Amino acid sequence: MSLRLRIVTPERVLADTEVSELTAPGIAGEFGVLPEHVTFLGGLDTGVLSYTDARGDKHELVVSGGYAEVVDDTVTVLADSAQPAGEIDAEAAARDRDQAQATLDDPAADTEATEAALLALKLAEAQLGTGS
Amino acid sequence: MANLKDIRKRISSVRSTQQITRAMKMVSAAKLRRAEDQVAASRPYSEKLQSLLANLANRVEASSHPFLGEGSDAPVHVLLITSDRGLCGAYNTNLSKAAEAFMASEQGEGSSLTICGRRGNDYFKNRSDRVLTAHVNVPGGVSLELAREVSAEAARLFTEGDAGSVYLVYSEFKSAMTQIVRTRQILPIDRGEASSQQDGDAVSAEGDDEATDYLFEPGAEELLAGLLPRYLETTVYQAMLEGAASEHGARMTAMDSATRNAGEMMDALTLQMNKARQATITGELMEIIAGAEALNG
Repeated sequence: MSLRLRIVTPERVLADTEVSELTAPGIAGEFGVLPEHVTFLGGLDTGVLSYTDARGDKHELVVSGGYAEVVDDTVTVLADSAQPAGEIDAEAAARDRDQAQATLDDPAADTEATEAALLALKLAEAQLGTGS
Repeated sequence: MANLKDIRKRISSVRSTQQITRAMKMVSAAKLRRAEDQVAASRPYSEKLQSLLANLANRVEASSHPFLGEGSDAPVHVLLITSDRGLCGAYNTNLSKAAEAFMASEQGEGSSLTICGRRGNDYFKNRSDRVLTAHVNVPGGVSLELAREVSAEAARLFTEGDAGSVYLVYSEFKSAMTQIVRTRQILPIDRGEASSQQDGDAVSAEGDDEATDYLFEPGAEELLAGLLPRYLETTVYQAMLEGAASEHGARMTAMDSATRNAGEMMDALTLQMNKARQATITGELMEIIAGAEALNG
């Protein structure tokens, strides 16, 4: 038994492969998908999506926002943006995190800046969380 | 008869023009290939999004989201997508004229305009005072960020009631030779269109879920509220990508015929130059013969 996984973003198709299981960051918390999952449509949060392919290798991607649909053992992930763990620049992510943290600590920052910083922080932490 | 030196000068100037147009044609061909790949790469996402949307739209009331409503009587808003650079034949003129004609029609009365691309802006700068915003010489060219910005702006006009509906004027890419100017309504979103354009596997999936019910997380209406703006973005993004591909195609064709014309012109000028040279030789000969005759006589 296996699942078919497709990960697409507006810019490219990142994965179209057979997987045995997958874990995704849902809006209402992380969820896992195994074969014979109930027909499902859910929103995605920023976080790490991981899956195990047919050969047993584990893959990780950072996704931010989007949707996941499960129909008849086919999982389609429509991500606003997605980045495979191998393409992540850890240094840049760490820099982003520090910068976002600085904005959050700054009492003078307005609501908009704080919200943007929160998002940036989440993304940077997800990026740093892969592969480790 | 123009003198020899002038003709030679013209030939060499035509030759260097031809070298430039030939190089531009080659560059456009390479860029066109990349633009086509981008169009193809973004297609799976938009197709899937469309089928999801069709699925969801059938489950909720039209009144649940303003994008699905009827729109209002307020003037329409036109979104025109042109290129930043010229030298691509009638590409930008065709688009600008189509937008202008649409705005002058009964349907477009009192309409406002948003322009992407410097060429479209140049066209309307002195012709119309209905331009709301222009995105000119955006660094990086077509990008998802730009599409997001533009579609958010259109959505804001629509939801705040300043625009009764939003139309997109862009160029559909058929091939390097043919680009078709399209005028398409993007807001309010037509439910019929959303469900009729889906691909084969989405149709079968929809057939199934008459029986199986989706588990939505969060609820269907919240999901739809997130999906609709994304659908709009994707539509605009795809139109921009198609526009970019059309632009390169149009430039390639234009430069191809320019190169050919330059070749023909060089042939004609060479002929003229040879005639002029022969005429001078003949003239000189006549003088010599005439001189010799005079001595003999």
